[in-house]
Amino acid sequence: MEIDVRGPRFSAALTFVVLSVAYLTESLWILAFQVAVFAVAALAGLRWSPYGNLFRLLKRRLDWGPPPATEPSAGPRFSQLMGLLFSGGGLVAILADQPTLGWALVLIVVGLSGLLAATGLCVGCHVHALGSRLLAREARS
Amino acid sequence: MNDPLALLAVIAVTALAAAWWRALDGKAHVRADEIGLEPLRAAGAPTGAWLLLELTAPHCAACLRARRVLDEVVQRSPDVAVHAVDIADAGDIAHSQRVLRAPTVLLVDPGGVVRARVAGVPSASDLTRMLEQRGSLPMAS
Repeated sequence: MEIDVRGPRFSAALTFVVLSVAYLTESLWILAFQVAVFAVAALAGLRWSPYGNLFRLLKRRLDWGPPPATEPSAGPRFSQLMGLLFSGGGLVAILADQPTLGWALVLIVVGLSGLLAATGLCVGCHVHALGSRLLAREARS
Repeated sequence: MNDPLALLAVIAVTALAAAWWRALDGKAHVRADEIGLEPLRAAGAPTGAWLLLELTAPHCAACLRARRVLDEVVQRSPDVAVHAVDIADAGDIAHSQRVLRAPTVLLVDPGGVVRARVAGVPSASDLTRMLEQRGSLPMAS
């Protein structure tokens, strides 16, 4: 499946804001909301991503025009999985009375989503591409 | 409330990483690294002339954009060949040149020595300048 390259950047900007607010207010509910958003996108697929659907709705309503480019969804979906692991791990750590570790994990997601929103650089996508190349090489040899 | 300074620090590190990435991405770097003709032939690349070798990956939208830049750039340098090969099919070159990203573009001289390298989608003007100066590129890295 090919997706509009602006979608992941839009979602990353929202993620950045939501997790920054969660961090500053120490709100576990907001953090849990973002973990759920990651879980839907990573496990059910980007078609179901809440932020992705908001992006598509706004795109239609505000007439943002055709995608400047498209990209395969595998990399961004893997990135959502990374987001789920880090923010979900953070939530579990905070609930297990390890708030420093937990919020540090959340801040990693804040940094990576901010990077994607600001520059289009998707670290998770590069990790995914590198990983699948290494796996393909293993399979060949 | 969590310490807002930690959030600011994360944002600052993110901004630095973004600036670093922008400075490297798509820029041509001069180098001198011998591949040898045999790995080039194994990768299906033409030898005996200057060559722009693009290492690609499956499902890589940026690789297609890079290919368009290469095709555009060599229109003004018809003696330069363009060849794209999947990283998996050019394992020796990817290994010896420590290629981590797709696309990575190598400018290879007729003797099989890499004279310049671009990670990411090359900037057309940068690559054109490199091709125009290729006779005088330094041999030492």
